[in-house]
Amino acid sequence: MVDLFDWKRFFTNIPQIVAYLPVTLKIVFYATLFGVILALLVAVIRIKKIPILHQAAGIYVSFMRGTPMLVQLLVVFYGIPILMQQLFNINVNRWDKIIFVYITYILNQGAFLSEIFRCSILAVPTGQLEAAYSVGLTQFQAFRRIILPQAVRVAVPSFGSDFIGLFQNTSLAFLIGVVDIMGRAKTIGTATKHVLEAYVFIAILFIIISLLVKGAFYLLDKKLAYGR
Amino acid sequence: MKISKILTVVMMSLVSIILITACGTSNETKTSDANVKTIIVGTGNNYEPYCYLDKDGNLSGYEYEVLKAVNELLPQYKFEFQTYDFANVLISLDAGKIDIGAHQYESNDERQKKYLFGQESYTTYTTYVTVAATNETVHSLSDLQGKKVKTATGSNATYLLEKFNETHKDNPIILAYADNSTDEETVVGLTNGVWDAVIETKRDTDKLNKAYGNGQTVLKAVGEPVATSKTYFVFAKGNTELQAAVDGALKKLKESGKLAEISTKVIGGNYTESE
Repeated sequence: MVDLFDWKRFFTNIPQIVAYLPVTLKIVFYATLFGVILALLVAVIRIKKIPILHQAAGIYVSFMRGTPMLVQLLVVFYGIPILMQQLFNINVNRWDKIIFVYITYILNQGAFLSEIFRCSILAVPTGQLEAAYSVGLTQFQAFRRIILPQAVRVAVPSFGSDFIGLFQNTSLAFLIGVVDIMGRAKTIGTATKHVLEAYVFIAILFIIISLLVKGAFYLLDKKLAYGR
Repeated sequence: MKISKILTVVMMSLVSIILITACGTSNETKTSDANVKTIIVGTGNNYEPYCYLDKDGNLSGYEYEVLKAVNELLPQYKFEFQTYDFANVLISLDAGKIDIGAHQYESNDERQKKYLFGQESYTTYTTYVTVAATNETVHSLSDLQGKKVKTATGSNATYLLEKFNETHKDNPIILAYADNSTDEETVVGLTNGVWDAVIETKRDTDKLNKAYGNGQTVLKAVGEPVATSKTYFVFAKGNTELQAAVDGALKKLKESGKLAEISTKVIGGNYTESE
């Protein structure tokens, strides 16, 4: 058992793992893009307290935030086909597995981001809105020109840490057989009988990604720090 | 301004890369004959040499090779392969996501109740209590009472151990579930005492000794076999048409010696009829 780590294996693994980086990036990309749209909708519904939708949004957010991601993935993967079959009589069971992964991560991000957006909007003092109305801005103008710029500034740091978390969460997709960088590391381990090198590289890769994301958000935060 | 420009460029290039790759994968055109029925095969990706991904990331292994040969004899079907982790293969069969489960499945009562098993086996599967080579105290299943055995959810070994515990309630074997663990974990865990034993075939033990032993024996099988069984392909209840077709093809492969050939080539010995 002396042969646990070998640099040669470490370097041969790199291209094989990096080849699967687009899978991970795609999950993050779709989850963020559609997650933000969903989150804005939910945040507005909850702030405006639109009846029925408001309660439904509350249940959705607390389910997504209160259950493990793993459970959500399995519920979407096995549950949505049953639901679709019963409601619309369409068989979606044979859809590509990656679609179920996208749906899960979009729903999950939608819930987490909606809370970030909601409290960022609420963090802007009501006086700001009243002042905007008093100078004759419409509701939309007041939101776009006065509330949003201030809310974004509050949201950026939490959004950043959520984004880094999302990258790490994508590794769960391997459970239903979607091979991402984490899954590839594991399958390399199975095929070559040496898994440590692959895991070490994954760790380095995740650190690099998180540093890049952190750097980008730091710059964004600095740029948005006007009037401070 | 400069920073925002850089950020925009980075974001735009990321978006375009992702969109391009996304288009690339969805453009695959499917040219399928109307008479050819597509069958989804669910298998694993974490059990070398039965089902694993090769260095290019393609599925390979014994399950894949056998089913490919079966498919060649059944032109009315087109097999497509999907990989899951072990515990999710049979759940996917329940859910109707796949038509055939292939992951060295042994038959037992619990599984028989839920699934349709093939009639033709394609590998023998004789499992033993397997311990670290230095272990001198364990010789049989009953020696393991009160000790930890590494096992996986949904495996036949788990089923057998649970059966054993039903009749030994006073001092049961402790089941340590380690789902989708690696071979490396198995060897390290057994040699440093995290677990006391695993239940596996002799050929799996040989494989581990060869891979990690540095010429020495690190694990050994002890005592009588825990179970002498065979592995079968698993179908959804009621899908007798597919089951009969696959069985017929397997029978032909056995008679022609092709199955033995695949076994020797992929597993390293003929394990189709006897050990």
